[in-house]
Amino acid sequence: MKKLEEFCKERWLWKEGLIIAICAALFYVYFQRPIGISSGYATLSYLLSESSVDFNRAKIFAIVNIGIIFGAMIAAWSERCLGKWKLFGKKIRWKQLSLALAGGLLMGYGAKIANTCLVGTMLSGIPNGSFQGWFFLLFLVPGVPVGVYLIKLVNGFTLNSANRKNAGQGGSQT
Amino acid sequence: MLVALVIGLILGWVLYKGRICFANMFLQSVYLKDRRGLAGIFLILFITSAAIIFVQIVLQLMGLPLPQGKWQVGIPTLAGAFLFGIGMTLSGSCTATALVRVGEGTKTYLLVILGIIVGFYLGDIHYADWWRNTFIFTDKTIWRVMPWGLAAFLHLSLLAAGYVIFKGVKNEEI
Amino acid sequence: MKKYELDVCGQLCPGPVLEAETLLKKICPGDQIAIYTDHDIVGYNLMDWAEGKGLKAKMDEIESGMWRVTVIKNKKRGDSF
Repeated sequence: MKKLEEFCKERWLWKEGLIIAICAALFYVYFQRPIGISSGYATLSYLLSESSVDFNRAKIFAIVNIGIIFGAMIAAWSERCLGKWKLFGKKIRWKQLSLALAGGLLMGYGAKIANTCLVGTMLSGIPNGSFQGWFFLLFLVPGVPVGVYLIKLVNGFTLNSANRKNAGQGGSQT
Repeated sequence: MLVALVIGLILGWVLYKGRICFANMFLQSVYLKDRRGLAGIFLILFITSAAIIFVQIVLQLMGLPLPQGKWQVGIPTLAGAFLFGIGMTLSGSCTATALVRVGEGTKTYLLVILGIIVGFYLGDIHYADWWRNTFIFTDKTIWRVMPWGLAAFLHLSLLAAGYVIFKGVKNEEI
Repeated sequence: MKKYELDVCGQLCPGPVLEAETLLKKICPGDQIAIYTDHDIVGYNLMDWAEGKGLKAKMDEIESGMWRVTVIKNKKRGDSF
């Protein structure tokens, strides 16, 4: 299954998108508020800070988030070898881990300030017609080249020599 | 509540099986200049918009009040979006996709989730002190600015146009 | 035809594609890059990237938990393998 190749074929992504849309609409109707993923994180962060929050209101979002984790777990479990659940990551790169942590921090900070996250914008911000959704997407775009620049900065502008090896003529692989 | 958990499970399943990663769509379209990423974004926006507009039509026909969300746009939103864009690129996922990756077994994303929670907490502190006092433009949605039918029509047609435009762009070969 | 190896084990989503892109610009047409990774998401990402560039790529799982994507740079525009 390819992520983006299927756009040209169209048929496959429509089905998945429709299921996502039904989930978002269902949430909207049942819980009387638009869906959001950052609110689920908000409940977890409020455990740290004990600031004033209406915990009952926000609890359902955290449950949705946990559901996403387990849903993906079940899907992966069913797809791979009927029961083998592998953990990825044989090698650990500290640069990558620090980048991931920094990325997470920036995402959390940005999500709180903007009061939404990306999936919340796309699934409920824009469909509900808010200006916030469009502004969020618009100002998200300049952040991407900055992030790419930072990645290149951390990894060195050229490839690491340890990464790239010439296998030579008549190499053993393939 | 159980419904929230079920919705989360379905979302996790679909996001994994479909290998949908919103951050990846942005990365492809902005950095690699591969237009199909944007087509994917518009497609998902279109489908979810159609679903929620349909739900709103049904609710209005039944005479029930429409659920409202809290939307606001201001300086915090724009800055938050920018930071979110950077963080998304660095960590390789958005907030929902991070959950999916944890569910499928990639250990690194546990760090990302931790970063998001801590970032949220930091943002909460700063928000209460500083960001909230900056300029906030509006908290309207498009629905309040225009009559309802016209807004719905413009919305859907804009998204459909965006999808069609970006779908058929061929990429150059190197 | 030279074969290059690229080891991106442990790197997350944008990283491997950026590195592969950099490497692709430096090699001659007809060369082949074998990219080793330990996330299948990265593998699918690279397949999409190669598809977007019009290159042929194939991905195989060489052992439990390691994937290899092989990309061949085109000789000329419009050439197909």
